[in-house]
Amino acid sequence: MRTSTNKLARKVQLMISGPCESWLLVFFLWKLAALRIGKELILPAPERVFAVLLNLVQTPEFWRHFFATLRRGIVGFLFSYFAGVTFGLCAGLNSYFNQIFRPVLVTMRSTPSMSFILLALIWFKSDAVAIFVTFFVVFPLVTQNVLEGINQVDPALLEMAEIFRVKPGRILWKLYLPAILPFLVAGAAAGLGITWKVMIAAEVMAVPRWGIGTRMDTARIFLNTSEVFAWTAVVVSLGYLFDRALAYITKNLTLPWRKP
Amino acid sequence: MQDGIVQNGDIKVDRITKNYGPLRVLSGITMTIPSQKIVAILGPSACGKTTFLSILAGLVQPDTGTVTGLSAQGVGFLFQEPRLLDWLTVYDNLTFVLADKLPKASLRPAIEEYLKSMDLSAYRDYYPQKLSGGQRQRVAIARALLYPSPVLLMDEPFKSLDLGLKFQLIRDFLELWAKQPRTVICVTHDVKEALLLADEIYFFSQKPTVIKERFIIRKPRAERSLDDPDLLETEKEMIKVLIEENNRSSRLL
Amino acid sequence: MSQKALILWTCCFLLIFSALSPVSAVRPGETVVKIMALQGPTGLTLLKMIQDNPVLSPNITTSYTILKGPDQIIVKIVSGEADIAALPTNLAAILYNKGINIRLLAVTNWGVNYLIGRDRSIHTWTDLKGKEVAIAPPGATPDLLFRFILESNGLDPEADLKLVYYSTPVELAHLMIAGRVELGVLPEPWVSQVMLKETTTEILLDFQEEWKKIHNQNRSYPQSCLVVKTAFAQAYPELISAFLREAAASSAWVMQNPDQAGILAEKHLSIQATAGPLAIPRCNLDFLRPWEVKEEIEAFLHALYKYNPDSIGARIPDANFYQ
Repeated sequence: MRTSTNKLARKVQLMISGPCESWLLVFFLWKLAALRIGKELILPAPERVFAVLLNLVQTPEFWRHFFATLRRGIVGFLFSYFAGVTFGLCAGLNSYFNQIFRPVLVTMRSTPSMSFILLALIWFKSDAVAIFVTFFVVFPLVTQNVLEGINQVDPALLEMAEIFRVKPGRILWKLYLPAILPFLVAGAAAGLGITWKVMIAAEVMAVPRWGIGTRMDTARIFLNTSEVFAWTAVVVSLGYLFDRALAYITKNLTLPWRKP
Repeated sequence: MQDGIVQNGDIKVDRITKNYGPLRVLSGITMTIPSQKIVAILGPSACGKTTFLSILAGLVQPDTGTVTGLSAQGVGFLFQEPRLLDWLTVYDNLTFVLADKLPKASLRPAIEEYLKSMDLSAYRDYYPQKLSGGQRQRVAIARALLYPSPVLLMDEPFKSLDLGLKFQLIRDFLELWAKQPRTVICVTHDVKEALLLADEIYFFSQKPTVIKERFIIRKPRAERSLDDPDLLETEKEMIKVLIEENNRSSRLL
Repeated sequence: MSQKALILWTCCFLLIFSALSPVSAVRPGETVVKIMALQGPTGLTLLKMIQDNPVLSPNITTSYTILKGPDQIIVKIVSGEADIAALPTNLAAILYNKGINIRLLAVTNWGVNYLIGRDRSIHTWTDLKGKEVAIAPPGATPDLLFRFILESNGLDPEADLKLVYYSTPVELAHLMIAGRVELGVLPEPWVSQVMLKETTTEILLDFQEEWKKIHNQNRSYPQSCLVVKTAFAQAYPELISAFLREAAASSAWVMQNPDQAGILAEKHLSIQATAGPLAIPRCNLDFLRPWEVKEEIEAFLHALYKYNPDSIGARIPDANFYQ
């Protein structure tokens, strides 16, 4: 249970400490490919994308699209996350519930996210589509993490609580939840990472009035490849930002009993 | 069972058997554990000692036989390992178990008192991982003795401690126990430990387990020491039984 | 920096310099002229030619390709594979502005957008005040034109009515057939398909008529056009003349024979045969050379530019576009 949080911390460290050369390499390869192709329409040069991005952030529409997607992402993620944790706990603690729920979970996990998008397009108005799709992708992921966490809770501690007849509520809050905390964090990291990807895909398909995905689609229709790249950079930064924030929270606010 | 009469508060174990699949683990255990006495159960490793304890704790149901005199409210239990929650402080570990068991008003003073007796007052707000192995087991002892049950079950509670610490802890345990005596059933493989702790010592045989021998130690606990000639005599006798049983089992293998 | 890293960077620089050397772009001599069209009303003008495949020039064969979406036709034009292409006029302007060497050959249709629905209370654009109108997709030409017309009628598209967006006209058409959308902006042939299946749906407002009224002219906006690769036009001027003659004739034939054209349209352009005869008269085919309608084209591009410069490639194309 310690390895998963360590993995996360290492990943963050890697992204902070070693980006200089790796970013340079990415830009060089990108520039190289852009020069070779020589058509902005197909692959714009990195500096061109940067210029477009710079112009974009100065428009009020940019922020409106940005915050619409941000809000939708946070709402979709939080909703899926808490549902995932609740269901994960229920399934982890009750084998009957688990038996009924497991096939549903497996089905959800193996369904292509595009299927959810296509169905959601038929069922919902465009604003709800992205949240619905995010739910169906993030929810099983989080549930799976919680189940894994519950499976590794030390049975000796559970036996202790059982012998001492500790109340179930206290066992849940004081024993299970802290024990699976690293898994909850890992689930949040994995869920957030995928939220933005799925969210953009759903927005491109559902074209809500405001949203990064909608603008990416418009940019694509009008062959503004540089803008598609610029928006992609925005989404990547968004994911990166949330990943780092979560790593920071994990490092500083949780697990005080592990502090030296 | 020559002591005969089952007193109020005694625990009566009657012809308990337990099988795990084709394997017979307990084969008719009958004993009466008198109220407020300490009983040790010795036996070769992998005999049914732990299973027997689990039945008394209510974790496992026997196939046949009954146990009477144990409340359904849970029993005090001292494990071989401390079994503390890493994410709770010493104090919170105690309240985790005791919060609903002791009256609200006396919870805090009771915990403070036991921590003091166990030399743990300064570590009240420490997380278990910052404590030594001995300190952690002391927290577990405080938890087991604070638990409001007339019965305390112990599963080799001093096994993983080094020698000096072990006897120190046994003394501390007995001191606390004497303040508020209760029935103790202690499973162990250590003859010396049993001699220092127990009023009665039962020997379990190899599987299928039956009671092989029973010793009664009449010397008051306060007068016992490891070099006491009477106890050394009993120890010799007990080791003989233990070796006999081990030889029998190795022949069986 | 380690030795490995040094080697890596050296390789990078070498690759960059090698990339700067010119790439050979010469293609071997052509014996086939490749004509490509977008399915739906954009390709309607060429329908008779696609069917008959008339000889445009001796020794040169003609091939027709119908493409499903703008993305596919863009790829063909950018890669230089298409010699002549039928596509939306604003897309032609974008490609021209992005440095693709193409010229306008002709404007082929003059708008196919309608506001349809079941709400009989709508007779004028101002009746739309307070209504919910569906459009697909957001930011594309129909959306921009709709906003232009609303503002010309003194309405604020954001404040006075609620705009709901769908990603494709197909999707919107299905929802209208299912009766889940009351008012929608759709192009032909979707207008006719919806009206065939959901018979209480009517054409409520006509984008083309309104455009004429606003601009006080007798032509609507030039929605679709034909473009030619500049190098190809210079190399085969006779072929281009022959092509324009045939294309004008084809356009006239389609307008005069909507029933027969409807059958061909199902075969070649994925327009349902039942919808074809209804849709074709509403597709406003009128084959005109660019210099005849330069003003109309520029007015159209200006209107789009005002709403989103990207919709025409960020600037009004220069005179070379019309050559």
